[in-house]
Amino acid sequence: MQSDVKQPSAIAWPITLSGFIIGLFLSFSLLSGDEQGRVNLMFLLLVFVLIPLLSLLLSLFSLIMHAPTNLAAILSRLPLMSNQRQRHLMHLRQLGVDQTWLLLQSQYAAMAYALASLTVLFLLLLISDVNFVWRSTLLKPQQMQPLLELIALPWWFWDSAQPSLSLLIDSQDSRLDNQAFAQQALGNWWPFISASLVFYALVCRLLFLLPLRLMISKRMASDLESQLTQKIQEHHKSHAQHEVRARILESLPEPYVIYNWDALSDALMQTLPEVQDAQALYQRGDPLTDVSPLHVVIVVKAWEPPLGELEDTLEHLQGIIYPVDFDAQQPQTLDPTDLDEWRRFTAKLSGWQLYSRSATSEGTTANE
Amino acid sequence: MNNPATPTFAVVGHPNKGKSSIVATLAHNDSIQISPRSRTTLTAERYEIKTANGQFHLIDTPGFQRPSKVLQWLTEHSQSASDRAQTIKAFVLDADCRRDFPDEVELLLPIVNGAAILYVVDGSRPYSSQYETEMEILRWTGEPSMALINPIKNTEYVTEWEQALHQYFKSVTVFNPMLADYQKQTELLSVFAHLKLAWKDALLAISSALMATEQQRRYDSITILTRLLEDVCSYRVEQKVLTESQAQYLEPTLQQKFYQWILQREARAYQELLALYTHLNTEFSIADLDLPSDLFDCDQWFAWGLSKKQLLVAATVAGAVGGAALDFAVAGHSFMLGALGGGIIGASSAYFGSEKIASTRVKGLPLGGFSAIYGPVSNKNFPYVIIGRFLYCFRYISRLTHADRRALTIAATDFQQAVEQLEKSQQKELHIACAQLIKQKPAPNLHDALIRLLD
Repeated sequence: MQSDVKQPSAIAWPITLSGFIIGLFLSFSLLSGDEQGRVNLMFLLLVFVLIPLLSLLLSLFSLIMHAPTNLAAILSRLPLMSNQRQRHLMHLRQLGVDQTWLLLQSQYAAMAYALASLTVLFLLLLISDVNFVWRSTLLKPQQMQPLLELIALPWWFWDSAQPSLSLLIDSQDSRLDNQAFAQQALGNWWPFISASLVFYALVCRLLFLLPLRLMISKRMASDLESQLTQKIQEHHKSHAQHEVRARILESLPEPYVIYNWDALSDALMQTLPEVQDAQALYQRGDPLTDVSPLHVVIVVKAWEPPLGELEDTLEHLQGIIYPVDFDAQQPQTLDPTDLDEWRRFTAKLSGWQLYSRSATSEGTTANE
Repeated sequence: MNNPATPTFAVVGHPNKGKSSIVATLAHNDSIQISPRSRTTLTAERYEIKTANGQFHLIDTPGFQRPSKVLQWLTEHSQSASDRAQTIKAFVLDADCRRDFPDEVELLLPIVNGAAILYVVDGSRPYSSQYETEMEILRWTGEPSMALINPIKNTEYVTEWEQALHQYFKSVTVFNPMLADYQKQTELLSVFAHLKLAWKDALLAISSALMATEQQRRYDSITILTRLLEDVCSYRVEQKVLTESQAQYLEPTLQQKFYQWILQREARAYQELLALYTHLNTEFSIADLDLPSDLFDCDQWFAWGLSKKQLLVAATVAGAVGGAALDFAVAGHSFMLGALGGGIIGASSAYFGSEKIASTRVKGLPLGGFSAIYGPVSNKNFPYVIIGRFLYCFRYISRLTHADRRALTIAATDFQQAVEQLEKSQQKELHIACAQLIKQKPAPNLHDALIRLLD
C-alpha cells in the first residue's frame, strides 16, 4: 500500500540529472574555448574550484541553519511535481528528514555536476587541443603561484599536477600580444585542472555526502512508525491449541457412592438430588476401599480447577467426576468455562467419566 | 539468583486465579499466555519491565497443585519455626521433591532466591479454608508478601477474602487486571514499595518513569494521527488514458481503489497504535467509512504526464536555463537577454502549442491524453471523521490492559464534545489546520492542535 510513498527515487533522479546537465553545458561552453582552443584558466578555477567550494559552504550553512538554500530545495518548490512526488516529499517531511534529504540530493546533483565536467574535460582533451592560458591585468605569475600552490596542496604527492612558476609564465596570455606559446606548456595544465575538479568538486562533496546519508538512515530507522512497523512484522500471533474434551454423562449409573472431595458442607450436599440416591457418602480423607462393584462419584467444586492432589487420588481408581456449583445455597448451572476445564481434565484421565446434571445438550454426545 | 537491588516479585496462588493476567497487565505484555484452562503456566517465567529509571522483574509461576502434601513434607522436615525458611530451601533443592512436586518447586524457587510474594485469589468466588495450606507454605518462606484480590467475575466475596487474607498478609489490595489503568498500576507499584524498604526508591523511580512513558505514548499517538490525516487527505488515484470517454469509464474502478487505500491506511494507523501500546495480539475490525461520492475528475495531460500549468512552468524554466547558458557562453555580453528571451519563448510555446503536443504521436504513442483522477477528498468534514474514529480507538487502546484480549471494533464516533471543550483559539487552530489539509497545503500546527483533544 505504501510503496508509492516509500520510494523517493522518483524525485531523486531529476534533481541529480539537473546537476549533470548543468555541469555538461557549463563545462562544454567553457572548455570549448575560443577559435584557437584557448581556455581561460581563471574561469576554470571559478567553475571547478570556487563554485563547488562556495556551494559546499552553502550546503553546510543549509545543514546547520536548517535553511532550504540548496538546489533540490529550490527545485522542489517549483510547481512541477506530480501528486505522487509531492506525497514522497510529504512522507519525508513526516519522517523529519525532508530538508536533510533534499540537501543530500543537492550533493548528488553537485557530484553529477563534477562527473559531467570531468567527462567533458577528458573528452575534449582526447578529441581536441585544449590550450589553457591565463590572463590578468593586476596579477603577476609570482603572485599567482602561492594561490595555486595552496589549491594544489591536497595532491602534493602528484608532481605533474603541481603548478610551477615556469608554467605560469609560459601560459600567461594577453589578447593584444600575439606571442608564440610553447604548445606543450599550455597543455600541461590538465593534471592540475583534473585534480582540482576531482578534489574540490568530487572528494569534498563525497566527504559531506556520506555523513548526510548516515544521518538520514539513522533518523529513518529511529522514526516512530518505522519502529512500530518493525515491531508488527517481528510479531507472530499465537494460535489456539487443539483441545480434547470428555463427553458428559446425562445420568449416573447405579448403584453408586458419593465422595465429597472438596469438603462441601452437609447443607450443600443435601441440596444435590444425587446424594439422596447414593448408597453411601464418603468425606475427604475416608479410605475408598470395599466399594466395588459400586461406582464412585467424586463431587468437586466446579469453580476450583482440578489440582494435582485430585489427579494423584484418581490415578489408581475409576468412576465419575461430578462438578457442582451453587448460588444462594442452591445448585446452579455450571459456568461453561468451568465445565470445559473439567471436561479437559477428565479427558486425560483413564477410567474416569464426567457427569453434569445442569450441562446443556451441546457437547454431550461425543469427545471433541 | 535474583539481583537483590532489582525489585522482583513472584506472582503465586491457586491455579486459574488470574496470575498470568496480573503479570500481563503489569508487564504490558500481551504475549503472555492467558487461558481459562488451568496449568497453562508450567514453569516460572521471568518478565523484565525496563524503564528509563530502572527495571523490576515479575515472575509468573504455576499454581499450587499439591499444597497439602507439600505442607506435610515441610512439617516433617522442620524442627521449629526458626528453620522454616531453611526447610523451604531444602524442599526446592531436594531431588525427590523436584520430581513429586514440580509446580510447587517452580513457584517457591524464585521466592527462595529473594523475590517478594504477590499472592493472587479470585474475589468473585467464596473463600475456602483449603487456601490456608497455600498461605501457610508462603508464610514459611519468611519473605515480604502481599495479597491481590482479583475480582474475575464480580466483587461478591471480596470482603470475605479481605478478612481471611489479613490473617496472613499485612497488605491486601483489590486489583482487577482487566480494568487497571496506568494510574492504578503505578499505585500498585507504590504499594509494592512498602513491601521491602530496600526497593522503595527504585520502585518510586520506576513509577515516575512509567508515567513519563505514558505521556510519550500520548504524544506518539498524535504523531500517528497527524500522519494518517496528511496521508488520507492528500491521497488521490490517477490513471492516464487516451480519450475522455476512457477516463469516464474508469470511475468505478478508481473509486474502489481509492476507498480500499483509505481503509488500509486507516487500518495501518490503528495497527501502529496497538503496537505503540504493545497490544500486538489484539484483533480489530473497522466499520465502513462514508466518503463523498463527487471525487472523480477528468483532466488533460501533455508531454511526460504534465498538466498544462506544469508544462508552462517546465517550458519557461527550460527556456530560461538554455538562454542563461548562452549568456554565459558569450560572457554576459548579451545582458542576460538570453535567459529572459528563452523564458518567454518557452512559456509562449507551451501555452500556444500544448494542444499540438497532445495530438503529436511518437512511434504511434501520443504525447497527450486524459487523466482519470479520483480524490483527494475536498469535503471539509472529512478530517473530523478520521479524527473521531482515531480518538475513539485511542481512548479504547490507551485504557486496554494487556490481560484483556477482546477484539476491537472501530466505529465512527462523535467527538464534538472534545472539540467544544477546547478554548476558542485552540478550536480555531484545529479548524485552520484541517482546512489546510483539505486545501492540500502543509499544516504545521496540526500536531499541536490535535494533542489538545486528549487533554
